[in-house]
Parts: sequence; C-alpha cells; structure tokens
Amino acid sequence: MRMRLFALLLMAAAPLLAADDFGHLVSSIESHYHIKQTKIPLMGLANVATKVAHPAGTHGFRLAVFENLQDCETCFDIEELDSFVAKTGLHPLVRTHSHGEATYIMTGEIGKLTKMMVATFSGSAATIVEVTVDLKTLLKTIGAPGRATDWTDF
Amino acid sequence: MMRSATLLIALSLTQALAPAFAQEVKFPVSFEKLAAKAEESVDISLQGPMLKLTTQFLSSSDPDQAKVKKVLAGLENITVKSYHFATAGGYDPADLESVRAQLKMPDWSKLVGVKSKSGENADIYLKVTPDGMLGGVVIVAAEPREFTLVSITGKFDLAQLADLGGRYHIPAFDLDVLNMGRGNK
Repeated sequence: MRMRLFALLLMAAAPLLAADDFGHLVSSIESHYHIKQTKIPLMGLANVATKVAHPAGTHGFRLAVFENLQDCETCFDIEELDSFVAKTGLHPLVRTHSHGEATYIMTGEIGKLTKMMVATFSGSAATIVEVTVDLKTLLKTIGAPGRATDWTDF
Repeated sequence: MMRSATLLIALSLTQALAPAFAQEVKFPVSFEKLAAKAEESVDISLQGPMLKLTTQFLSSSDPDQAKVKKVLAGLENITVKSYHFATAGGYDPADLESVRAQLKMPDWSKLVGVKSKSGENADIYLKVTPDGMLGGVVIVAAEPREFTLVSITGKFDLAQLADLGGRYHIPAFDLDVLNMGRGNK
C-alpha cells in the first residue's frame, strides 16, 4: 500500500520536477560561461503580483539577464546554445541566428496554461524570458475580432 | 470469431497503409550542425496546435488575413530551414540530394524544376491525396552559398498555397508559373 502511494506521489510530482526548463537553461549558461545573471530589483515582487492579478492571462514569468560576458563581441557558440536549448524539453518554434546573434522561441504543450520561452543572445549579452500564460485570455486581451474563438480542440 | 478476424484484418491493413499517408520528408541530421557554420540561419517548425494558435491571431474581417487563416486551418506542419554561408561549399549538396531522393517516391510529383549554370536550382514537389487535394508541398531552393527548404503538410489547394508566400520565411511565388509547370508535365 505504501509503495503504491509512493509511486502515485512520484508520478504526480514528476512533471513538476521535470518542468524547470528555464532554470535548466539559465544554469547551463551560468556554469558553461562562468557568469551570473544580473540581479533585477523587485523582480520577485513583480512576479508575485503577476501570479495574483494574471495581467493579460499571464500566470507567472521569469527573467534572466546576462551582461558583459567575458567582455567580448561574439561569445556565444551557436552549437553550444543549440544543445542547451535542446535539453530544455520545450518545442523550438523558431531558431534564427545571424552574425553571432541568436534568437530562440520555444513553447511547452499548448493548453489552458502554456509555457513560452524566448531566449536572445547578442554579442556579450543574453536575455531569457519564460512566461506561463493563459492563451485564451491573452488573445482576448489583444482583442481583435476573430480571436479566442474555440479552444476546446487544443 | 469472424468479427475478430475482420477486425484483425482491418487493423493490419490500417497499419500497412498508415506509413503511406503519414509519410513526411525527413531532413538530414547534419542540417542541425549547419547553423554553427552559417552566417545566417532560420529554422521554423510550426506544428498542429501552434498553427491553430497562429490562426487565432489573424482577423477574419481582413481579406488577406482571412485567406491565410483559411489555409492554415488545413495545415498540419510547416517546416522552414534556410542557411546562408559566407563562401561557397558551406553545405554538402549530397544532403539536399537525399531530400530530393525522398521526393522521387510515387506519392510525390515534381511540379517545377529550375536549374542554372551558376548553380542556382529550385524545385517544387507536390503530394496529391487520394481525394484530389494537395497533401504536401516541398520547396528546395539552392545556390552555392545558400539554400532554403520548405516543407508543408496538411490539406490545401494550390491557389491557397500562394497566399502563404512571403510569410513564415516561405518564398513568395507566382501561381501562373506553377500552373504552367503543371500543364507542361
């Protein structure tokens, strides 16, 4: 009986344990490039406010900014970035790179709450944003006709 | 007993036929490494749910957007891979040949093939479903220093396809040229 309960708990917790794609990407960059993300004042408070008020359907966000990486122009290696992003488990929608600058747009499973991540790497700086958003509410907020019609088939 | 046997036959037929309908063009794994060598690269992969999401951003009242919305509703997958290299020889033409080889299967027919002495080639392949609709289109455009591959799967007609040109990095193309190509076939 105990074993069954433990197995059930483990199964329930598995998605939560595996879902920290943002943390995984940030820690990969920090450990690989030996840098720390820039501290942004009141970011925690802003996140709490977002979790309570859900502005435009946003149920939470995380932001990591890296600046002055090794004081160089093109520090990020595309192949390395590709491998970091591939390990997140998110589905890459768009990957572009041009002259040392790279942008990744990734998404989790599309549903009631969808996780989206945008990572940009430019010269010696990088920004990673993860947003958990209720797409129906977001589209209603954007507010043009024809949007947010039927979401039952997602 | 008879019913079970019929069910088994139906199941095995479904399994046998499934690959023919589910066939998608596979891009070589080596493409994954090309971004690091290229000066510029674009890799777009939009599948079912995300395509549906995209349609929600398009307005039904705007004629242009309504057209695109209608096309996207029937699509299952859009994949675009585009690489631009600083010099010629950045990619292996054999990789593109492996893609073209897959398109020699009976399901696919070559609609347009353009070759030039300077090494600029463009091919458009179509897959027609048993009900006469288009089930897929693949565009292979290559030059010595760059190439673009577009693969679209789903159900749509040729006229609708032209409406997607210029969006999602899909090259814009002239429908009259396509019709001429089909007529010549």
